[in-house]
Amino acid sequence: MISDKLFFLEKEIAKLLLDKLDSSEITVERASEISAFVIKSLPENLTDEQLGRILPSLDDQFVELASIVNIHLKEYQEKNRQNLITEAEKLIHQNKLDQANNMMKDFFYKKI
Amino acid sequence: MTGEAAIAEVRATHFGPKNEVLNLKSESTSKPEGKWKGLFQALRKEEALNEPRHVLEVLTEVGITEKYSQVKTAIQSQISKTDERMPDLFDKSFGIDIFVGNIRDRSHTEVVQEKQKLLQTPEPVKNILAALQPNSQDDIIAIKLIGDSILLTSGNGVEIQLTLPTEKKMQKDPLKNYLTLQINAQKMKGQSAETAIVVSNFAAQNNAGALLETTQTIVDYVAKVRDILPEEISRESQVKQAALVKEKQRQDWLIDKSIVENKPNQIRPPSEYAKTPEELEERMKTLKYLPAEAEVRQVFKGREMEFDDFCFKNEIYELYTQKFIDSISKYLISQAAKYQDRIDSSQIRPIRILEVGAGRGQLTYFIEQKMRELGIRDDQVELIATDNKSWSAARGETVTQVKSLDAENAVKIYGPDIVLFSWMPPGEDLSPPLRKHSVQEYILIGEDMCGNERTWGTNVISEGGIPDYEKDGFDIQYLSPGNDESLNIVHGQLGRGQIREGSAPTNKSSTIAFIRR
Repeated sequence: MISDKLFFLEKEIAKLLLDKLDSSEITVERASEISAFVIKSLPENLTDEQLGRILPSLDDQFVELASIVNIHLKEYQEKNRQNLITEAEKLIHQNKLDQANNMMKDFFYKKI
Repeated sequence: MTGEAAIAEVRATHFGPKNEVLNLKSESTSKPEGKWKGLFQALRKEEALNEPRHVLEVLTEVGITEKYSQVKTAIQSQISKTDERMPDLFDKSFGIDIFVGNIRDRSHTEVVQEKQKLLQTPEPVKNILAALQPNSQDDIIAIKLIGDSILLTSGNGVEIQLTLPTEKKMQKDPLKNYLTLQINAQKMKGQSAETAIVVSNFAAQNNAGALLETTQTIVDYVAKVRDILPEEISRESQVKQAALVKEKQRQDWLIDKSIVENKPNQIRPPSEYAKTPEELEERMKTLKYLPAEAEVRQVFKGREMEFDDFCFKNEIYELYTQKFIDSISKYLISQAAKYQDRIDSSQIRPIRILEVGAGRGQLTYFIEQKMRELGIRDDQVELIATDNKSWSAARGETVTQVKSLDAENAVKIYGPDIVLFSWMPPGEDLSPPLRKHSVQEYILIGEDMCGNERTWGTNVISEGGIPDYEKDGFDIQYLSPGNDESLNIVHGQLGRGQIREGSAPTNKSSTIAFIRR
């Protein structure tokens, strides 16, 4: 069963490719290569977590995917950020300040 | 397990979200924006986009097909530039064959060696071959491009055929427009029941993703073959070249029609005329003397009544003159050119002019001399003289080879385009055989006493109906003057009764063509 996130990501990629083909921004061959790459990179049984890990590298080879990747990446980062804040708040309430501090640093450096 | 089970076929895609086939007939192609425009428009619809993976698969296929098309065009273009041939390697059933192996020429072999890595069998194909023959090393040795398919053949005889979807097929029959990979191990060395099972299993296990990957590698493989393709090998280019050569031969073979208009008639000057009937008779004994019309008239001036006797004595029915031979030869050349136009480059042959009842063969001889003088070659027009020799055997001498055949057999044997018959014996209509077989036209020379009424169609005046020649699909065309409908192009005719003063028009010799409609 394909996840909702994967479904919408694929749909956006498909729409992007068709738009670019329509406006002659890319060639049929290029669209084909991107499609084949997406099919291969994103198996149908991918979990959201796996998708989140793959997503940042999706536009490495095909810059055309950058805009979609960025949007989805931001969503993931925002979600991670919210999770982190919630987790950090819990730690702070438990007076585990060092642990909360390290977690925030990890997030900060990873983001950079 | 029969050999039939050793064939597996895998198909993919072109099915929509609800398993319906995308029928793009009404929306597709041939718009200037691109031939896939219709397909892309269909895919942009929400119902199609709700199956995004399907859309991506279709886009992948389209790209592969485009790439294949470009590769194929490039290969064809490369092949067409070369004259080199290796015809014995080709399978006659296919248009273009490209052999990766068996390259004889050393330099070509070196090219292959240098880039050998490029020729390695693609991994997915290798996997198929390995699955079929676990104990044997096998590789692809030949690639054939067949229409929208690529056929890979291994050294051990395994055939893997990849058929790509096309816009054309999509319009014609969308149900059959799918990407197909077919494996045929029927001709494989050591084929067994196990082989068939492996093939069946392979088909069962394969899926669209694997098929697309295999397809991509096969198309890439063909593209690489293009890069290393030595300048060689194409039956198609061979056929094209042969067609070009034949067409050039045909152009060389076609008669230059301007000959008829531009070459003036060469008439003997009066200073060279024979002075008396006796001198003319003496000159004509060679059978090769062709007098000018004016010469004959001058020789018999004041002695017109002797012309009949002269002809009788010398067994002349038609006294051929320079003007007559010139004009009838030119007419025959223009007709031969017309009949040439009906012959295509694969069937080039001389236009055949057959003279029946040729007697001593003078008419054929003079026409042939004239044609060669005008530059008509024997591969353009061929002349044959025949006679049943019933009356001329005793005379013996002929001026050219005259074959012993009656009209019917001559037409049957030689298959002429044009038949000449000068002075058909009176009383009997010998024209029916001249309308048979390949004859497009027959030309009768002589007075209307020749043959009988049926020969000329005058029997219909008393009998009604239509002339025999018309029944057989021929039209009459007068060539010499004297008839309102005449083309008036054959001149200088002198029949045996034609010089005598006051000669009745019915005694005038004329030339009449009967032309197949």
